[in-house]
Amino acid sequence: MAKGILDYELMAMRLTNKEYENMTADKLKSTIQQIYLEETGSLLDADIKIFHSSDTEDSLINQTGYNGTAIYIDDGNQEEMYVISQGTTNGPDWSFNAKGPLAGESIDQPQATDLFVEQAKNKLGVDEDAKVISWGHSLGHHNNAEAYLGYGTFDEVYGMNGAQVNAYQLFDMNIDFQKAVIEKFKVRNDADLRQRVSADELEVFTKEFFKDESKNIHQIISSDDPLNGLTPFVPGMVELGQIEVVDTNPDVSGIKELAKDIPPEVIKDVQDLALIYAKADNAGGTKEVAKQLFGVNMDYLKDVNSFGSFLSWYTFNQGEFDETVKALNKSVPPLLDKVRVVLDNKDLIFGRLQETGYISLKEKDTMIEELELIESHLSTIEDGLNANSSLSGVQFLQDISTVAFGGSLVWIKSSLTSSIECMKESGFFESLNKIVASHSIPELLAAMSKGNKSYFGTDMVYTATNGDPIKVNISAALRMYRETLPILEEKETKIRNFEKAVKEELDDSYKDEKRKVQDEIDRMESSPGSYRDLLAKHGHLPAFNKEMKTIKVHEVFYPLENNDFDEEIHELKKSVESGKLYIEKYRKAIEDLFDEEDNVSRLFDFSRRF
Amino acid sequence: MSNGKESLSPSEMDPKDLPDVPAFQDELTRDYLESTESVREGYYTLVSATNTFTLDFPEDMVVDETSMAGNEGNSESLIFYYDDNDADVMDQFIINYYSSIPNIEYSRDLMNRRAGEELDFKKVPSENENQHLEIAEMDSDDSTSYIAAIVRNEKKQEIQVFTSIICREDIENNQCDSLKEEEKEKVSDVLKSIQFNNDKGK
Amino acid sequence: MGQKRTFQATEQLIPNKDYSDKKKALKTPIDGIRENDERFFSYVSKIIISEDQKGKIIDAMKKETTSRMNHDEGLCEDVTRKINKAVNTFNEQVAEMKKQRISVTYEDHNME
Repeated sequence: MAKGILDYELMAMRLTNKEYENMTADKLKSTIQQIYLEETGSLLDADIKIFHSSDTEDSLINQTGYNGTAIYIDDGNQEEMYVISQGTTNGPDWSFNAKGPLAGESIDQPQATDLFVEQAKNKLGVDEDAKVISWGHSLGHHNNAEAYLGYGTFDEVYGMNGAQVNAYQLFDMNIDFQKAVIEKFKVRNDADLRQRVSADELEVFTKEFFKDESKNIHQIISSDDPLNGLTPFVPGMVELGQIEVVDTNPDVSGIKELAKDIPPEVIKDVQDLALIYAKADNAGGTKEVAKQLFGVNMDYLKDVNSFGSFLSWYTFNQGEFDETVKALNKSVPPLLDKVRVVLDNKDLIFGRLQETGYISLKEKDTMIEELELIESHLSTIEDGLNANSSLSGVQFLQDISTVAFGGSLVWIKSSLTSSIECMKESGFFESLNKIVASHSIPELLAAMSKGNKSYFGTDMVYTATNGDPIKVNISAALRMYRETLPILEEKETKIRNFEKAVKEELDDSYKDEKRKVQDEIDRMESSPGSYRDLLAKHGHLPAFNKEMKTIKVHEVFYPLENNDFDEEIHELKKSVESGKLYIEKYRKAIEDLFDEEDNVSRLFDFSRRF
Repeated sequence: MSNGKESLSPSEMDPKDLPDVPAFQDELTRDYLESTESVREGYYTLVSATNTFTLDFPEDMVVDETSMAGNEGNSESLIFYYDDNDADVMDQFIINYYSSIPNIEYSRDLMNRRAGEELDFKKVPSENENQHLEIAEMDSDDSTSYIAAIVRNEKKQEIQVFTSIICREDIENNQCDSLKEEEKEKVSDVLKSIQFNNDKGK
Repeated sequence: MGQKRTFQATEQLIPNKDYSDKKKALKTPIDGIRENDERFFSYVSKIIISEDQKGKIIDAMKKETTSRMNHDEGLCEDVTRKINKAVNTFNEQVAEMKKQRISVTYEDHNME
């Protein structure tokens, strides 16, 4: 395989993560230049053009929510286009990612990916022979790899903690593959394939069929990535390509260990519950959770604080009661089912989380305790709902389950919130964030240190080789060196603006006012007749028999005071000059932390040349 | 059929009152069908999940469970085939609807890439106003034939179709050929019946 | 013929006006400078990964950075304070100058 211009794993990882920031084309260009410089130590001497998916007009791309950037690079020897597909619009949120490809049927995103590549080629004037390389994280990789295998969109695919391709989808997308599957398994349609061929067999065949293409797929995956951990549980999901597995969180035993022996349907229920919770929590904090979870208009329950008030609400607000019952009928049973599945497997799920180091014993106990509480109340509500549907109004009121039902409704309103707060306070959800973090590119990067170079976020970090092992964010240092100079220039402009403002707003304006007064004096002195009202005003009455003769103004003008900002302006200008020196001094200080062979000095020099 | 409840859609009706054919007896397929009144002998109107197009649906076919509407109704995949797995010939329609595809050249190229061969699309006169239909027959082997089609309108809405026609394994080549020819006619009729719903939302 | 009489008075020649909006016009560039300074230091603050890292060179740079930050901040504060004072003075001085002593001479045609 020919080496690409940006064909460095770490560049791909850093730029793919940076792409989530939706930078302007110019900013992205300089980011590419800087990352290239940091990774290779040399300047990228190439023509770079950028096309972002939001720049396309009228097409499926925007409508499907596809988000990506095409980067065209021509270094004189070769032309290439890199396409970064974003995982999801809301960033590296694994739970939503997990839902798409795992449920696995929609192909509009791979289609949008292909269409975007086509439009980018046109817009950027990319040669037909130019290599098109895709980078993608999470769902972005899934879309890229499916577009590659289904449509031949790319020449190469590089994925990071990617969601894998789905063989059943590829069967519908790639007719060549479809023919081969039909031939091999003697199936004649989708249902046939699902029913008569085991997913394992199909997966093996898929790997074999795409053997050549697999050479062009490269993946790096964290052994702690939750998405990757779920791949084996989804029928038809196939890991294709050359895969490098990295342990990014050595404190825990890895996601496969965590999920081992837990039945897939249980994992799915846990995942669903987490999703439901995440969605409700996103909507506006714990208070909103109840509303979101149950679809109940909490305003109706405003005055329901006791069984007595429940009965009066039931009696006098039948409409609200019916609406509430309807909402609960819809929301409670499926939620309860999931909570029960999780509780039935509580030792397995929470026990395993604890054993593998993700959560503490206390977190485990709190979670089980609160979930059991939730389960008992939801059960009561379910019983009440069943009673309500089978009993007449009067019977319902007399039935014993109604008392409990009312009690549990009151509980939904008040105590569910505190139950969820308890779970939150236990730290459980934060602990689970450790799992989520393992899906991120920065955690992959953090595991990629080499010599005295390592990563922090998407930045490169050098550990000092001269003296104390101080960690220096070299990316930030270069950005400082490169981007603070324009800030100082801006500051100079603003100082000039201030000087101008002082002149206009104070000095000139004072002169203006003075002139206006002088003009008025002139008018008074030259035409006293027009100022007869002065007579009355100053008590010389009656005025009708008096004739104005002269007016003399004894004017006194003082020079404006407190308008001298010279000293301050001088100080401000001085701070710009010393700022420039300070930048150089900082550069020197950093250089001194390193040996000459670290070439830090050259990085600084080059950083101002793009 | 007359059960006195003309206004009910098939999915709201008692299955006992529905025509005794796979299209109506299959719960998922029933949801797609507009009414129990046939458009022509053996065909009923199917309304897509995004309500963006209709077609004449053969009564002995069923919709695959993976069919779905995409993000905000901007795309849809619709897959259907004969319910009888042992039918002499099996047709499977894989239909993809997209709300906006910039130009047809792109679509042809995409279809070529999916097919793995140059498709020779031929324009087919469309009875539906402002609609363009083109069909290509793919290279076939003894037991299998493929038909590709693109339906498109001026609003750049587009439908891409791949249809496979596959004889049962034990069927002789000669017989298979004539069976496939027959099926091609049927497939072509279904493709011609595809119509964009310009009053989307009604 | 009437009799000429003269009187003196303090007269408001031009109506008064409030010039306080000049504060905004003058402060805008200073706020911009402050924003520039903040941006400048945000670049610097990310260089050394963790606060508790120690070393002679680092300590020296940290010290210099802090003193620069304080100096720049103090400067902007001083200027802002001075702007308030300058505009207040401007207001007062302009108000003062609009009032002047005048002598008015008139002829009284009163028939006695």
